[in-house]
Amino acid sequence: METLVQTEVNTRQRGVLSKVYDFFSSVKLAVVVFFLLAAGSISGTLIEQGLSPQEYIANHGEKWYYWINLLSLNNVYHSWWFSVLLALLALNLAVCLSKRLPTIWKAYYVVDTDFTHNLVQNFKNNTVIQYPSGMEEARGKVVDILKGKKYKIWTENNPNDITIFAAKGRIGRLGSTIGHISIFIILIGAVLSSAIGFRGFYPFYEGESVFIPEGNFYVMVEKFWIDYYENGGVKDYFSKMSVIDNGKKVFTKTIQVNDPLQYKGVWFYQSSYGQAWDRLDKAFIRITDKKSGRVVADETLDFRKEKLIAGTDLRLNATNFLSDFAYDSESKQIYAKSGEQNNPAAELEIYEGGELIAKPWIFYNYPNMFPIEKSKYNFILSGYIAPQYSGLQIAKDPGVNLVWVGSFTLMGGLFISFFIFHRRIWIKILPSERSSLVYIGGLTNKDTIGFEKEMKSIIGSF
Amino acid sequence: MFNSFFFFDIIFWIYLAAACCYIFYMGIKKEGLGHLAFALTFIGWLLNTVVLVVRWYETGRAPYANLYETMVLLSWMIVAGYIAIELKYKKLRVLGAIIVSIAFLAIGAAAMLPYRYQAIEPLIPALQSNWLVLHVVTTFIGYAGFAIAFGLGIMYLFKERAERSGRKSFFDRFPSSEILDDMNYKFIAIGFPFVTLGIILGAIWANYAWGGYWSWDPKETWSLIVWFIYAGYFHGRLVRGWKGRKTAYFSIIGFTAVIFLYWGVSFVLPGLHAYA
Repeated sequence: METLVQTEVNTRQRGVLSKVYDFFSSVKLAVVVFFLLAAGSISGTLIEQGLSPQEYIANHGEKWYYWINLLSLNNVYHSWWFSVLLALLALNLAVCLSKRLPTIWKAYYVVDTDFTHNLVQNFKNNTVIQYPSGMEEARGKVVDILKGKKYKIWTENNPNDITIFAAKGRIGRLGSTIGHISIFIILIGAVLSSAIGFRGFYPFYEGESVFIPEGNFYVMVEKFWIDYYENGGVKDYFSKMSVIDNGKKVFTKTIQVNDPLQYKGVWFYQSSYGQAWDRLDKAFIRITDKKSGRVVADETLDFRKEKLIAGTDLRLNATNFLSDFAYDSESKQIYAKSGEQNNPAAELEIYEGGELIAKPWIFYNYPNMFPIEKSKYNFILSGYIAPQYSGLQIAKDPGVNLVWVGSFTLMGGLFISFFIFHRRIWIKILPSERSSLVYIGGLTNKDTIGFEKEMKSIIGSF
Repeated sequence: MFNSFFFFDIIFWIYLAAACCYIFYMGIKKEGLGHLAFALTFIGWLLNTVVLVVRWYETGRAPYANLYETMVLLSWMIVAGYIAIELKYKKLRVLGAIIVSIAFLAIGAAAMLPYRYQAIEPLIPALQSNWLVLHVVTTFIGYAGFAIAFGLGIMYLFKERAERSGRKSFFDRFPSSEILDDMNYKFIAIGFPFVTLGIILGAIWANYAWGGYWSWDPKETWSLIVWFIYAGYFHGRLVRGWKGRKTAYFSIIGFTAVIFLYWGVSFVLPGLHAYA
């Protein structure tokens, strides 16, 4: 009794399992996932990605932003649902492969020499030839013809007849399997890329060495320069870089767009250039007398270097700079809103009579917005020179190698799948009065028209 | 005077004349007209080659850097593919009525581009690479395969309808629907591996130039969508046994997506691939 119940549970469990299995191996699931992936991808090209909430609200309105935010439409390709879809695709792929593999392997591997002439006549391409000599001669002829067509041949002499099985291009069967496994490999590589790969953008200033924790060494841009076309367009830009490992300069290379540097698996790509947004070479400060409005001095300050102003008891120091000044009222932090020179501002330490009397931010676009109460002078940021940085993309991505392996085998799989056809021919030779009957029939997995031509030519060669 | 634009104008008219000859040939069945059509196509193709070579000389680089230049390349490849068909299957000459027309339309579209898209611009730094040639050429072999398959798909639909009605029609001289269906498959089977290779080479190049093989830029994303569509075509055909009308529609939808990938994305959606 107990065993009976047990079996029942087992079948029911198997019922659920096989339903799950059927679900994940169904072509319907593949079609739905493909459709959703395509729709999601398209939405990501139509809605701009990675903007700030304010920008979405300005472009689409509050109501739409609610949906954009809810469905992560501002970051489609990294959203949870896109990852789920990709995972479903991978699962579907794996289950389908496991389901189809035995059939494919059988078609690839099995040499079929156990059949009757009735079976031969069931093929779409089949014919019977009356060959005017004995069975052995007929077999010799068949083998010659098929060898000429580059077939691999198996023959078997039976008591009453001769069986011949011929096949070529059977590797073509494996193309689709190789292709699908390749896609799996590429997906794994992509997962590795996003899990352990690292990629970031860094501005480098000439002469500054920067520690690269991912490789435990230092790099330095010794020099950065731009070449121009005659019409003024940018032709190319270069960074002369050196790698410093263990305190020693290991090597130097000039990189440019399309010609990166690689050291210890870390790659450095020349990707852009621009003006610094958080530092200065020089700040030009105009000091005027509050009462008379007379210019007291035009001073050039080096960044973060105190300077005595001749003829006054002033000492000035430009301690900070932002190219696009912004203030976050929540965190009470000052930050650069962008890398553009939209709202340049410098922080100025003002010492009068040896005492720090104020440390205001002064704005290039809004001179004298906040006069210093304790001082008899006004301080104006009349100009500045910000250093140029060389923008480098730094990446270390072990996943990329798997992606290339997968890409390579994918191409191989596609090639053999599309251009190598598995053609099989079954032949039975039966005795007839002073001659023999050759039953010949064939199958191809692709390129039916080409195979029909080949069959005609084989039959015509008798 | 004999610059690339001069030869370009000539191939515009020659391809137009060739396409017209093929279309008349379909109707009036004079072999002489067919020979003329083929001769015009061949001369047009030679001059198309001249445009590419002269442009290469004028720009001092591989002429595949913008929409106009790639259109000239695309028409060159479509016509090359058609000439191969005609040399291989002499009886299928009427296919020129559609395929040479598509090549002509490609040239016509390039001719209608505003001048700033046609002008010779120096290469921006990102494009200064040998990968440019590999990536563009493989991709455009793929596009040309899809374009020819698209033409064959349209012919299939007309021919299949005429066959079903059983009456004499304008399309009697088309090859049988079975042959059209088979050729449709063959050209997609050429296009697909090449577009795949083009995407892979683009990824390798992007990784080498920018440090990332995939950035979900609109061009990349749409190339993936196109890839999905044709992958769907093969699954329908090889796994589910679809033939005929279904796959013909598929090849038309697929090529529509290619046109959007090629032109639509360049004009409508901004991205890394802004040049073409």
